[in-house]
Amino acid sequence: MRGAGSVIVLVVFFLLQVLVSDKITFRGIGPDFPLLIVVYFALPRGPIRGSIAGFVVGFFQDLFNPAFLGLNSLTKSLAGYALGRVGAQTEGENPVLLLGLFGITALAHDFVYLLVFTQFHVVKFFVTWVTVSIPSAVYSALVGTLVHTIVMFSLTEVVRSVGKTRS
Amino acid sequence: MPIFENLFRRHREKTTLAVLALVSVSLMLIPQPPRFALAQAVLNGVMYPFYSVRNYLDDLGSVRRENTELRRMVASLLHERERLTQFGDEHERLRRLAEFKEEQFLHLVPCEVIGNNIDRFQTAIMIDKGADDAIRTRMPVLSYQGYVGRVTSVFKKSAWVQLICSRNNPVSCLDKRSRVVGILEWSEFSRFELKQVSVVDDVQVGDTLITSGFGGVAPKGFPLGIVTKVREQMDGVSLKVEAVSDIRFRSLEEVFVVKDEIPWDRAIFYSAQDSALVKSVSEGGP
Repeated sequence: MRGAGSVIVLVVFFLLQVLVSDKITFRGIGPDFPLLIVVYFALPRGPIRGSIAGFVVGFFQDLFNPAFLGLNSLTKSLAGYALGRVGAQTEGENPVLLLGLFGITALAHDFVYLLVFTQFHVVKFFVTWVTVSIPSAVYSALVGTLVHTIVMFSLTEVVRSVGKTRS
Repeated sequence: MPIFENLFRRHREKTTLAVLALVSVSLMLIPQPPRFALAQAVLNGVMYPFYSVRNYLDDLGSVRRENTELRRMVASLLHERERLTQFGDEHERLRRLAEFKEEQFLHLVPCEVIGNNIDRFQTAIMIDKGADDAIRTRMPVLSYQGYVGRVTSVFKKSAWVQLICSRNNPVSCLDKRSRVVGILEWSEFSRFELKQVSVVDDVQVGDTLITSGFGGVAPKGFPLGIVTKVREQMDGVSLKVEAVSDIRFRSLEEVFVVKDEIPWDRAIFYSAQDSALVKSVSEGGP
């Protein structure tokens, strides 16, 4: 059930990114669904798969903004690697832990991303990180955890009702 | 190579990350024009199937919308046609009551112009239909813009048509507005003169001249020209009226010979194919 739930959550993140990402972003503050996909994928699968997934997702994002081709690949590879390592030592199903991991990863990801993006301009970097990255990280963590909780709860209920019907 | 093998075997995770980071940094270091070209090429390749499906669905949607719109139009036109038919019947009944001649449809034979007489000012054209197509002398000939002349000699597969821009081919005409009757004679190029109009007749610049139907050659109601100049003649009793035709007689390519007239009740509105299509549409078929 865990594997199926994980796939469903990933699909939901993807659909949210494609369908509603623009609509729930306000003044640049919105959930980073591609990062959530990387985190969610990397957690149970280890650093190698995590970093490769991060690279693929980041590269795909970069294709739409080729001025910074490679930047998302780099930052998301790092995020995938880090979460893969963390996931090996933790219980990734815990919503509170997920909330923290989503938030911290988003902040760390944006930290590296903005450093390169602002070309190490300290003031621009700091202002953007505080005004955009921190609220976005909180937003991403909340949305990611909410989606995970809803999907897992629904799946549990479905499995339970199927079990009752059979018995 | 053994170094890489060793690295991958002993530090697989870190080496993978290092390779990915190296590739990412390399991508960042590519100069801008080739970087954009690379991104575009990869994006096109990756997204092609999605774009194809999306375009197909978009096309499907637009075809459906168009089809719905066309069905609505056809329904509306069918309704309009029905109303016009009823108006036509009513018009015909009223004309009968008023003892007018029954309104007729013209049976037109489309012809291609295959030659013209070698004259400084063209006065006759040769058409590709003749006796085999039941073309006879004195049959009137029309163009898209109006009456152009009459058939003067017929051969097996062709015929000569004398145009109205000929000295010896005057046409009886009507002023469309005031119904004044006169004789239209060609003067030069596309200019004509309206004769037998008296000073008391109401003819004004801008009036449209149409065939009167008198004499039984030209059918009634086809445009001939527009009045461009009206002035009193020296004799003080008649008007000198000049008119100009819109028809470009020197560049006629298609004309229609009026073979005969078809009464209203025997007129064919649609061909068999059109009728099948209309039936299928009205029944909501494919």
